[in-house]
Amino acid sequence: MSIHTAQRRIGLAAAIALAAVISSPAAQAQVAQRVAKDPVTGALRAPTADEVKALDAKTARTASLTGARGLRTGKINPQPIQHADGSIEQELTEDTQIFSVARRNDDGTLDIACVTGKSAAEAVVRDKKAFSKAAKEHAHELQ
Amino acid sequence: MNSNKKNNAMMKNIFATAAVAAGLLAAAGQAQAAATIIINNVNAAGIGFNDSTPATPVGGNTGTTIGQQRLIAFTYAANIWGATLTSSQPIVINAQFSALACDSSSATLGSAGATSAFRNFPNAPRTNTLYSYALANKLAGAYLGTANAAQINANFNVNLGNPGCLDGTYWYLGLDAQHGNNTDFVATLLHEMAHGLGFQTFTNGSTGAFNGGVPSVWDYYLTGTATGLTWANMTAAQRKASALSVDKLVWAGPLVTAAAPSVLRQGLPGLTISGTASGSAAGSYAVGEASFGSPVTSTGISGQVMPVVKADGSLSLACDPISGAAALAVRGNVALVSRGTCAFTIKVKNMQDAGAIAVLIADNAAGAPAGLGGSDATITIPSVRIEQAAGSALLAQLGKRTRTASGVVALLKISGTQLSGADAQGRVLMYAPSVFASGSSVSHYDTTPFPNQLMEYAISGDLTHSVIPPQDLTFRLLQDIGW
Repeated sequence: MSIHTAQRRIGLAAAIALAAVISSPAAQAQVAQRVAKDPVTGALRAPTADEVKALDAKTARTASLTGARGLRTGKINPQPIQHADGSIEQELTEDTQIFSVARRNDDGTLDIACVTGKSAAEAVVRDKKAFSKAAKEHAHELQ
Repeated sequence: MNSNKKNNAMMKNIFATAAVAAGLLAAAGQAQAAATIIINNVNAAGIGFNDSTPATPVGGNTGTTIGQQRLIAFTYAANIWGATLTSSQPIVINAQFSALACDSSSATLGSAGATSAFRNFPNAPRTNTLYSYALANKLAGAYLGTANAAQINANFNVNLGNPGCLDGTYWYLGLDAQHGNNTDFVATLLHEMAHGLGFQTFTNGSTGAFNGGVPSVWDYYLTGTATGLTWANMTAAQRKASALSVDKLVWAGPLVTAAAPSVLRQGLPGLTISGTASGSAAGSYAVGEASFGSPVTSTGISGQVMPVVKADGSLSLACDPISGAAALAVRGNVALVSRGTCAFTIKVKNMQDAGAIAVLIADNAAGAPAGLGGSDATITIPSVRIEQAAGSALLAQLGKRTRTASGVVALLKISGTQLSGADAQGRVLMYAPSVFASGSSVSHYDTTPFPNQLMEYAISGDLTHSVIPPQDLTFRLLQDIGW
């Protein structure tokens, strides 16, 4: 697969995801509950069509950033596909990828471990969450 | 040339047909095997595999740019797998370097995994069971799904070692595993590629829920010894509990179990105290092994126990170098010191520098003796942790020692038939921490095997690049699931 193809696939997937969000019953129900604050008077009122469109676009962008993306197509929360040969394919997401993470200890030694999922890896790196608390973890005590 | 054309021009599909590596493995006893692995370099011009920054060849890697060296190392790892696996279908890996999460003291090194899982494909050994894409293709004898789709995604941190990204700890791109304080790229690749090939369950370990309501082939071998059930036959609640069961989760695949005795050490290390002055301290004691220095062996090492003590007679922390009478006492003997204040490696190094042949570190808290963590390549003597009570019992018998002898003799030795990292039935333990921290994974061997295994949860610094016995059990597990 070329970079061109990959980029086109991801772009198309994002467009489909946006359409799905906008046309879903949940999204339609949200429209009825929305209230806009008039930028001139400050009064609360029903949103205009343009404001609804802008809010929907923002919602779709947020969903596309937070949903689990398929590793091949970029689709959000990809669903099983049945192929002509009868096989059923479940496209996987970053939730099932295995991440190697490393942390330097105070004494300069390095611990490397594997965690499942991008959010778990980022929790270790950015939020300084501990590697798994194994009962045998103290086997790795340094002092 | 526009940027897209540049990207295409830089695109390289590397066919890792593994002729060289296949020869090496055949010499090591591996049956002739072959699979074509295609490395699909998806980095843009000047980035990652295409980085043109000059580099000096290192450890058998002849590349003269950073990008070349990365690609050569990646191809080397792919060749090892290509020579080990058998498949009529190519295995496509979408590979890239990119900016991954990191700061000055920690980093995401990389990630990998299957892009899709398949079930109910032609020739599937089990129905309604998920197989990784590459394995499903092998078993089906056909390229399932979308034409030319990649089976594995692999992504590695392009900034590793730079300021703000695990500063100063770089990818070691040599092919000889001599990575020093850096991270061995080839070993990391072998580990991550194994996950992509199918060394993983797609079942959620934190909830116990099957992916799409069906088990993974992995789940037919992952077995809880508390229930006697495989994950495929457990309820979600049982699987969730099993993932936290510590030493009660094993791999019940026949090929791993059969190979384990040829790979894992038989017997457990222990301390035996004897001698004319050993008195009530005579007997056998459990020990915790060190991750540094010489391992305890079946031959064993023996010597008189000599404590390093403070002015009040209590055990010293041994955090500083010793000299004079203290050094004379431990020279040629087994030093006894206390845990606390400084790293185990510092204590042991201080004793080694004073001439000790081994070190007993008495715990400073009650409980079974755990291992001694840390690393220091300059330490060559064995050391172990003993229980706090054992330390006290020994010290009580050492009151009548001379300056160079105690009459209390320690023997550190491996004994018994228990396989390291396996249960009593010889089944290899899988990783099941007592608390399911986010991202914990049962898709790994436990951290207890000796020697260290490629697919342990914690990636060790002393790994070879072998994936087969007598060094490693990775491929045997893949064979259990269908490779």
